[in-house]
Amino acid sequence: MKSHGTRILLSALKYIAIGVFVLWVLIPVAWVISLAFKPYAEWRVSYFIPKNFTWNNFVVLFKSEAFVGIMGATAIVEPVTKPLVNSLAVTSFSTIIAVMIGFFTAYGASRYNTPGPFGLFFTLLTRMLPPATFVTPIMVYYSNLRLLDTHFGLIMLYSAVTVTYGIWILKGFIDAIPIEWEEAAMLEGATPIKTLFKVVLPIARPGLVVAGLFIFLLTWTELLFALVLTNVYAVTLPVHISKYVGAVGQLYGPQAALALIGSVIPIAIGYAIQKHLVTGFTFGMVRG
Amino acid sequence: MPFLEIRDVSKKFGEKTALKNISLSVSRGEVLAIAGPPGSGKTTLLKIVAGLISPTSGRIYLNGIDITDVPPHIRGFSMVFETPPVYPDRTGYENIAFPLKLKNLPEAEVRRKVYEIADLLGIRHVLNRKPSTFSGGEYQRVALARALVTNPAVLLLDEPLRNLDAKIREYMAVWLKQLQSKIGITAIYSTHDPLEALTIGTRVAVMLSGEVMQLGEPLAVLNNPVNLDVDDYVSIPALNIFKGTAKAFGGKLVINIDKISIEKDVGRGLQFEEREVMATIRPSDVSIVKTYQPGTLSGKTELIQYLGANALATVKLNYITIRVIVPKTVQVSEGDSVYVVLDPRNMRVYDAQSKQRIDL
Repeated sequence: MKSHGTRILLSALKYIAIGVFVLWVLIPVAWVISLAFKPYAEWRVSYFIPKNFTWNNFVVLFKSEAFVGIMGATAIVEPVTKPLVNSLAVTSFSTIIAVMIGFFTAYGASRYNTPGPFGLFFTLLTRMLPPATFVTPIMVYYSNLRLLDTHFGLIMLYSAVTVTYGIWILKGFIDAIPIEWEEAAMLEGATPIKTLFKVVLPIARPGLVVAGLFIFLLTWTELLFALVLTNVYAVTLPVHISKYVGAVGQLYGPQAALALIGSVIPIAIGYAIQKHLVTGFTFGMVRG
Repeated sequence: MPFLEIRDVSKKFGEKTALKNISLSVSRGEVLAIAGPPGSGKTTLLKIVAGLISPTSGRIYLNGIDITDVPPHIRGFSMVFETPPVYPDRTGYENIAFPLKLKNLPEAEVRRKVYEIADLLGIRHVLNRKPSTFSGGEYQRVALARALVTNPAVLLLDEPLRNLDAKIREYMAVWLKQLQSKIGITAIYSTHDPLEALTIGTRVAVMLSGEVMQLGEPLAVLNNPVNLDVDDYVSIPALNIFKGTAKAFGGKLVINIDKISIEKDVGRGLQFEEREVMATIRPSDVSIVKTYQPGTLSGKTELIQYLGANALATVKLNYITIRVIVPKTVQVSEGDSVYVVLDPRNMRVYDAQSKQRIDL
């Protein structure tokens, strides 16, 4: 039997360990939030609460002049509107494509055992290689195909490298749907295609949402491909964020402000769809 | 002419034989119960009748017309599966209306039919709820409503009550039987539980490892199993099986099990030399008494299991162990000395090799 004192000590140690971990995770986030509202003079100081609270970092992001300067710090940066729209469009389209192709492939894999376990495993190949190893050949191909700095090029690449997640996540969901549920629909007059769209697709919706959110987040934060493959026209948000700190200037404040905007969007989307994440996980359940 | 006829159907999955020369027929308005342990091919057979699987050989006839190659949705059958097709993402109403909407019926007619069947099955209160809020019985009834709403020619029920707990299963089996006699639908009902099959079926087909071993009225199957496997399958609790020898002559059948010799009266025509047999008796056909009476066998109770209305005692005789149903009125406890009453009339004798019944 442990003494009362030992138990308090153990409990205190537990909370200290949890506290350290929480700080480890949250300090960078807190730092970005704090920096976004600090004026230039406070960017390099260590306290979190801004002494002179300012919205200026956000205002600067949307200024139309190419030359952005806040007192001592300067950089040549375009307004954030275009990269924001680019990122939303590229990420949304490639997510939808990856999830839909993933769904149909997963259905085939689950019900008809195509393309075989080996083939299915190797769809992961695009994620096994570090992207840095194949970004150069892709740049060469894209240059020849005139896909450099285009939305279409980015969407194609992003959906190709994330489709494997769609396949694997959705295969789990489709495997959990009893085949009898489809057979019942077939008995009642549904063609295989109708069964797929009217039975499997709606029941697998939570899976589509999970896969979609996961792929959206991956694509939304992707930097390397976008950095190499875009220049002016199709620049995405992560690339744009990186431009505020470069050889010519260190605009930490606006960079943090943009990082905050870039984080709020997926958080808002995740929050909006969270009810789909929870509901529907109970299928296959028959209670007595 | 039978309404539905399964003629000589076999099915192989690769090298494995799932069904072997199945021939069954169902008359209009009849419930044919197919009873068999898990893996005996019941589901495969029902799926072949439904058209979801095609047989390796053999044909299916409906009203004398060969429907073996007719696609499932044209056959006009319905099937309730072990995992009932109640889709979790839609309400009870939407689930029941699903097959009608596939047929593009007008909304008003869909509504009328769904309410009609819901009233018949007593599930009007679940129409606006999602399946996650259903109880087990409601879940099954929604599945059944969905199967019945299209007014199928034949209703195929594949272990529909399997996932329910014992009490609800018992209630639902009786409810199903009453519903069937009310609407008079033709049905094939498969189950792993022999008692459920006997309760629900007009006739019962006992199916063991892909073959129909016996087909008949419930009581005939229960009282006159044709071979050892059927006897073993339909007996609950598990059958007492003894290895021994037997010979028949002059209207007597003499069964020797170790040192015990039992005489049974049989027809005068039955005659065979001493041969190896399996003699069986059901625990419910054996009784025990606490004081010695002539013709009883002395033993010691080793184990008592409680079954509810009565208890099951495992009694060790000299060389053999026998399981006996003990009524509540007899008080026995483990370790008691008891006397077992074996009524020869309740014993059945099967050939040790062929397992066929030989004492008739």
